[in-house]
Amino acid sequence: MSNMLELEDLKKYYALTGGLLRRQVGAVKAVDGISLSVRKGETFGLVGESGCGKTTLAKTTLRLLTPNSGNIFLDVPDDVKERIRTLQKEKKGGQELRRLRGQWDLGVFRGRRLRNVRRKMQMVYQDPTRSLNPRMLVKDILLEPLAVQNIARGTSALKRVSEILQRVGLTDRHLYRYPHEFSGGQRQRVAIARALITTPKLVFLDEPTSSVDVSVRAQLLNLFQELRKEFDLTYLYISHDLSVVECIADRVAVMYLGKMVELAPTVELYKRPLHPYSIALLSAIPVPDPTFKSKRVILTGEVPSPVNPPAGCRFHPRCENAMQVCQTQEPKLIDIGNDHLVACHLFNK
Amino acid sequence: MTEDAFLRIKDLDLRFYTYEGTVEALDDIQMFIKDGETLGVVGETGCGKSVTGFSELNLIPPPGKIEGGKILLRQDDKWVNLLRQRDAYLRTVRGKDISMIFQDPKSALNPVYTVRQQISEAILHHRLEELCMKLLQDSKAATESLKQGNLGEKEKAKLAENVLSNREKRMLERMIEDPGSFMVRAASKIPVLNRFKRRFDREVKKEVVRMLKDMRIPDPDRVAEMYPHELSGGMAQRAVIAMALSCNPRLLIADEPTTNLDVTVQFQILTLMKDLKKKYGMTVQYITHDMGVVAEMCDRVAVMYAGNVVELAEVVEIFKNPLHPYTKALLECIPRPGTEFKSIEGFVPSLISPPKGCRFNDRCPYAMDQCVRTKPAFVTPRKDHFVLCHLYAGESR
Amino acid sequence: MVGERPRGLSFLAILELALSLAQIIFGVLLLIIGNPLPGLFPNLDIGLAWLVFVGLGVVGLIIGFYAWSGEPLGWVVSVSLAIVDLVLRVLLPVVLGISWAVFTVLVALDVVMLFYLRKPSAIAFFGGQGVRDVLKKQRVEMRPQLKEIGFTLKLARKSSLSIIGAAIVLFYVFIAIFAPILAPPGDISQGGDPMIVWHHGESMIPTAPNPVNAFGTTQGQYDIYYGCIWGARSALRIGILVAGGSLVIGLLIGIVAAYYGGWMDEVLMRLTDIVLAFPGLILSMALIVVLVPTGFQRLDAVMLSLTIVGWPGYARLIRGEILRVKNEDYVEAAKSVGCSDFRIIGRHILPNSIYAVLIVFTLDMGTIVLAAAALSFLGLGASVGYADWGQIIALSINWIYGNPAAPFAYWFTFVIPGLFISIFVLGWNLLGDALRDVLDPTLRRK
Repeated sequence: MSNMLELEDLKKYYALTGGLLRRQVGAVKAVDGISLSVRKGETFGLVGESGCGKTTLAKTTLRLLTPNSGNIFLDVPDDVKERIRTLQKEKKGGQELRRLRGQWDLGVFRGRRLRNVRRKMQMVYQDPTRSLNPRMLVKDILLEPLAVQNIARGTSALKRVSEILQRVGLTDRHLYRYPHEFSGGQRQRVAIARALITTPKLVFLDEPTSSVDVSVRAQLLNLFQELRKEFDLTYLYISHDLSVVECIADRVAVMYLGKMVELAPTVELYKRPLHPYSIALLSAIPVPDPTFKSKRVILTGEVPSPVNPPAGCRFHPRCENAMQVCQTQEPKLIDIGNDHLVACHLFNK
Repeated sequence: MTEDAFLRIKDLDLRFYTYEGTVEALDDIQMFIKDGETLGVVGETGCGKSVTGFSELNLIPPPGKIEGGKILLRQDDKWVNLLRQRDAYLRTVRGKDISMIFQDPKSALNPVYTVRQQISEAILHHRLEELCMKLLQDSKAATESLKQGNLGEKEKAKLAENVLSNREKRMLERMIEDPGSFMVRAASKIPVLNRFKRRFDREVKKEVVRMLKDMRIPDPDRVAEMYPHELSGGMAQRAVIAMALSCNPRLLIADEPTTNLDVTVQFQILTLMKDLKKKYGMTVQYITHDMGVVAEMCDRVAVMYAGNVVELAEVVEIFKNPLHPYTKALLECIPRPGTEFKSIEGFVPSLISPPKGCRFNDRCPYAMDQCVRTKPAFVTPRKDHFVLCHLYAGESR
Repeated sequence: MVGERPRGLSFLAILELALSLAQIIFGVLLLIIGNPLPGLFPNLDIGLAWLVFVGLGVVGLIIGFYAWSGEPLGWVVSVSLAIVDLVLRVLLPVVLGISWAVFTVLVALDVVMLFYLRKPSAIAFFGGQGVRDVLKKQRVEMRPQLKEIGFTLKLARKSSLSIIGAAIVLFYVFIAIFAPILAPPGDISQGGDPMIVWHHGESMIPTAPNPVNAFGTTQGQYDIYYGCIWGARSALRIGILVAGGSLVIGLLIGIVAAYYGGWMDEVLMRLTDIVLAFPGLILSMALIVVLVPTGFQRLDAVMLSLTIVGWPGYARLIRGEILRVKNEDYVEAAKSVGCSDFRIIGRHILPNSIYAVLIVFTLDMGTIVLAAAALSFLGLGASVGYADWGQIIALSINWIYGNPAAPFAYWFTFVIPGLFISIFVLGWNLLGDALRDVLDPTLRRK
C-alpha cells in the first residue's frame, strides 16, 4: 500500500522583521520538522489548537507558502523516494539530487510544473462565506478551475459543472446565483464542488463543518464519505473539533506548537492517549451527556508563543509529569507498537 | 410558571423590518429562569437565541422592534417589566443587575483602551459611591488606629497612607453627591489638588486587579495594563468576563462565549464560570449551539427553533426524555463514532413568511394535519417539562 | 421545438426587433430626406449611411424572426450574420462622420453589448444552439445580475437626495448633448469653432440680461447664456478625462504596489507621497506654466496637470482596498487552483475593491471641474473667450463690485456661471453620496 502524501522534516518559519532596516530579528516556527505519511484512500485527521501549525502545514503542503526545508512527496514512487533519501543522508547534494527533487519534490516545484500539480491537490476552507468570491456566480466559480487548468472549455466544461453540482447535492438552478443567496450548508457544498472539479487525488479539509449548523453537519460528513469512495480520494481532515474527527478519521495526529506529539489509529488514540497533551485535549471535549463523570485534566496556562518555544520538550512547562530531561532534550517520535507513535520522554525505553 | 423564577419572558414578539420583508424573529416565546441556576438556550443559527438575550437588555437595534410581550425581572418583591422602562432606568439595570458577554472577546474590547481602563469604566459607572465610601471609612479607621498609638513604625506608615486630609475628604464627598460637577472634574486635573483622584484611581485599580486574579489570570498587574490585541483569546475572554462581573450582577447572559476558543481553553473558561457562579451567587443564561457544553454547564435547558422555544426542561430530562421531535432529532445528530451520521432533512424555514402552524412541521417525522394549520400551545406533559407540540396537546399537568 | 411559440419573447428579442425596424426606417428616411440633423452630423455620407442602417436592420430582423419562430440557426447562417453585423457596426461611426471620442464610445458600447449582453448571433455561432434556447438561457443567466441591479435601484430610489443628484447630473448631460440646439453657434460664431463664445460688439462693459442675450453679456460682449450652455460640454469633458486619467494611473500604480508588496510597494508609495506633498492647486499651476510653452493647448495642459496631481489619491485608495482583499480566503483559493496573477487581480481582487474608488470618482467629477474653474479664474486655464465656466467668471473680475454708486450691478456676470458650477458640483456630490450608501455592504443587506 503506497502513500499518497509523504512529508519529511517539513519546516516553515515566518520571518519577523524589525528595526530600521527591516532585518530579520526572529522567526515564528510555525511548522518545525513534521514528518508524516498519508496512505491512499484514508482520512488522516490532524488535530491541535490554535497556534499549533496545522493550517500552516496544510498551506505549505499545498504550496500556498514556500517551505523553508523538507520534502513533500505527492504520489511519488517508493524507489524514487528511497533514492532521494539516500542522497540526502550522504549530504552529497550534487546534480542527481537536484534533478530528482526538481522532478518529484513538491517543495521545490516552481512555475508551470507547480501549476500543473495543483490540480491534484485541493482544499476546502472553513468558512464558505469567505472562501467564495461574493461577486462571482456559482457557475463562474466552478468554471474557473477548469479554465485555469486547461481541463475543459465551453459546453463540455458546463457539462462537468452540472455533473459535479449534482454529485454534491445541488442542481442546475443554483448555477446562476451568487453565493450569498444560499444557506451555509449549500455554500459549503459549492466549495466542495470547486475542490473536486479538477478531480484531485488529495483533498485538505480545513474544519469544513465548523461554520455550519449541527443538523447540516451530518449531511456534509456523509457527503464526504460518499465522495471519497466515488472519486477515490485521500483526505487530510484538519480540525479542533475532536468529536467529529473521532467519527471520520482513520488515523489521527496531534500537533502542538509546530511539532507532532502523537500519531495513532483513531480508535487507539481515543482509547489510549499517551502524550500528556493528548490526554488533556481529549479530556477537555464536552460530552453531551449530563450524567457522564470522568477524570478531567485541566491544563494550566496558555499555549506559549511559537516565536520562542520552550527548550527541550515544548510541552514541559504545562506538563504534570515533566522530568529533568524534558527541559533540555526534545523527545523524538517513537513507535510503541500498534502503529502508535508518541514523542514523549515518558516512553523512552 | 413557578414562584422562584427570577426572570420571566412572556409572549415576547420580535420583528425585524427589512428591505426583503418582515422577519418574525421571535414568535410569542415563553421562558423563565430560576434564581441561582444556569439556563442553557440551545438552537441553531437563526433560531433567535441571541436576540432573546439582547431583548432582555432591550438592546435590539433598528430595524428590529419588540412588538409585544413582557420581560419581567424580579426587583426586591416586585416584578418590573423591562420593556416598559425608560432608558435611564435600564442603564442602571445593565451592568448592575444584568450583564452580558459575547462570542468574540476581541471585538467586545475597545482596542484603544487598556484592560484596566475598560473594566474601570464599568466599576465607575455603578460602584462609584461604594468605593468613595470605602476610602472615607478606611481613612477614619486609620486615623483611629493611629490615635491609639503603640504601633510599629512600618504599620504606622502603612496606616498613614490611608489617612485623607480634610480637603480630600470633602472632594470625595462631593464626588459621591455629584460626580460630574465642575469642581470635581477641574480638581482632578490640577496636579496638587488631584491627590484625592489619584487615591481613588488606586482603589479602582486594586479592584480591577482583584477581579483579574479571580478570573485566574496569571500576573494580573501586568495584564491590567495590556491592550486587547496583546491578549490571547482565552485571556481576552476572561477580561470580558471580569468586566461583566465587576459589578456583581444577578444575571449573566453569556452569548456563545467559548465558541471561538480552543477546546482546552474552553474547558478552562467553563470551569472558571462554574466556580465564579458559586462564588458570586449568580444566575447564568448560557446561549450556545453545542449540546456537549450544555450537558457540562446547565441545570435547565430551553431548546429554540425558528423563533420559538420548543422545549424547556431540566438538563437530564432533555437528554434522557426529549419530547419535542426537534430536540430528539438534534440529539441524534450528534456524531458518534461507528454509527452512520444522522441529519435533519430539509431547511430551516424562512422567517420572513414563516409557516402558519408549527414552524417545524415540514421537517417533523410526526407531523399531523393540525401541525400545518394551527400553532401548538405550550403545554406541560411532565412535571417541570414544557413542550410546544401538538403531540402532547391537552396533557398539561 | 418547431412551431412551439416561446411564452412571450424575451426582452432582448423585442428590443432587437424594435431597433432593427427603427434602423431600416431611419435608413430609408436618410435616403429620402437627406441629412436631418446637419448640426449634429455635419459630415454625414448619405450614400453609405442609408445602406449601413438598412443592412443592420435587416440582420436584426432575420435574427428576430428566427427567435420568434423557434427554429435553430444553422451555423453557416450564424457566422455570416455575425460577420455582416460586425462589419456594419464598425462602418457606422465612419459614415456618420462623428468625432473620434464618440466613435470610441460607440465601439466600446458595441464590445460591451457583444460580450456582456451577448447578442444571440454571437452565442448561436459559438455554442451551436438554437437562438430560442439561447434567449431563454439569457433570461435565466441575467437573473441574478438583474436582481442585484433592481435591488440597487430600489435602494437608490429610497433617498430623495440621490434622485435629485441624478437629476442634476442628467440635466447637465442633456444640455451638453443638445448644446447646438439650445444655443446654436449660428453664423456669428468665429471661424466655425462652436467652443468660442459668441460675442457681438466690442464694448467692454457687460450688458444686463435682455431678450437677445438671455443671461446678459460679460466683459467683451461674450454671451453668458451661450458660454454656460457650451461650458457644460467642456466641464464634462474635463471631468471625465481628468478623473478617468487619474483613475487609470492611480489604479495601475496602486495595484502593482499592493499586490506585489515589498520594495516595489515602498518605492511606489514614496513616489505617491512626494506628489501628495505638494499643494494640489499650486503644483498644477506650476505644471501648466511649464507645459504651455512646450506646445500644449491651454485646456489640454490644464487636464494633464490635474491628472498628475490627482492620481495619488486613487493609488492610495485602491492600495488600501487591495491589501484588505488580498488576504481573503477566496483569493487564496484562486491561487490554490493555479490562477495567474492577472486573473486573480482582474477577477477576484478588483471587483471586490473597486467600489470605494468608484465613489471617489463621482465625487472627483465635481472637485476637478471646480479646480479647473479656479485655474481659469487665475488665468491659467482656457483662453479668453473659450466656453468654460471658469473662464467666464474670469472675465467678470473687474465687474464683481462694479460701480460704487450701484454695487453688484453686474451680478449676472459671476452669479450665473457660479450657479452653474455650484449646482454641477452639488449634483455629482449627491450622486456620489447616494452611490456610497447604495454600495455600502453593511447597509445593503438590511
